[in-house]
Amino acid sequence: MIPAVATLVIGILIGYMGQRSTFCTISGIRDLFLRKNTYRFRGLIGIIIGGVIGNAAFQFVGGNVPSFPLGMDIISGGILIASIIGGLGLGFWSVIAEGCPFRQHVMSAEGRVGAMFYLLGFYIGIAYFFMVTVKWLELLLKAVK
Amino acid sequence: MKLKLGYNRVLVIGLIMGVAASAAQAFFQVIPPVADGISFLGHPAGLLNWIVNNLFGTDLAITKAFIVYPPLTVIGVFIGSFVAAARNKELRLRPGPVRKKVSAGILGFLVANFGLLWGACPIRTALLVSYGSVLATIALASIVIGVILAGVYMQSSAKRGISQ
Repeated sequence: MIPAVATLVIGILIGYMGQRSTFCTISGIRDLFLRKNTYRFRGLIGIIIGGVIGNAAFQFVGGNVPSFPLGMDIISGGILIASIIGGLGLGFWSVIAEGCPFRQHVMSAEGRVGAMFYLLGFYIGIAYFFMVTVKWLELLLKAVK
Repeated sequence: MKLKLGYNRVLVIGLIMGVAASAAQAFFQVIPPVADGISFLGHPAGLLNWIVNNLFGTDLAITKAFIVYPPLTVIGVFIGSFVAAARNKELRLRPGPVRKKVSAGILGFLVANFGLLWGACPIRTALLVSYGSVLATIALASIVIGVILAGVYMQSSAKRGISQ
């Protein structure tokens, strides 16, 4: 119950702040490289700095922060290739969609119709991934081995 | 209550996200996996798979922290954004960001599949980078390259459109 409630509270907090600030990780990167504007990119930097400070501080006071810092966690070449292809596709298609998944959730709650249809496809995509794509990936990885 | 943080408000929100996600793991059992306090691929997938599993008796993947109760990040974001938009008179049906509805749906489908292939949304990728993950750092670099490629593609498409 505790993890579910924690995620709900964090969700409400970041949902409220995200709506007021137009926070978007993908637009931040896009604006930095194409418009030389750092306003939204600071959010991504903030997450990394906040994460480092939070993890270090909470580990110091005895919180549950195992294996921090994680270090080398590439366990196979297949996973590395999947991560690179996945990252490239995630970045590319998110720019075309004009926002990261978080921003699309926020825009949908504001009443943006395009974002609502994006989320419809997004959740169908998640179901498709676990029911179809995963099985193909397993076959592919077996064939590579 | 109005949020007045000036030009650095996005930085402050990012900092809050990073610390809140770390606290969720350190003190509120949002683990395993590590650095999973906020995720907009893992948590939506966890919620969807939890609902499908409970309705149809399937065995779709759910992370250990959310086997009994699902992650509710998405529900929270809907509530928070809805309240923020309503309080500031920004709550109304309007088109966009992608105007063609079918295109928007296809883009959502593609983002979900590529994102799950890597295994995290950009926010959780940044959280994993802050956790010291080398793989996440490579994935973040890949996301950045994907964004730049898309930006160049869109700029060249716009130029072609103007010249025609």
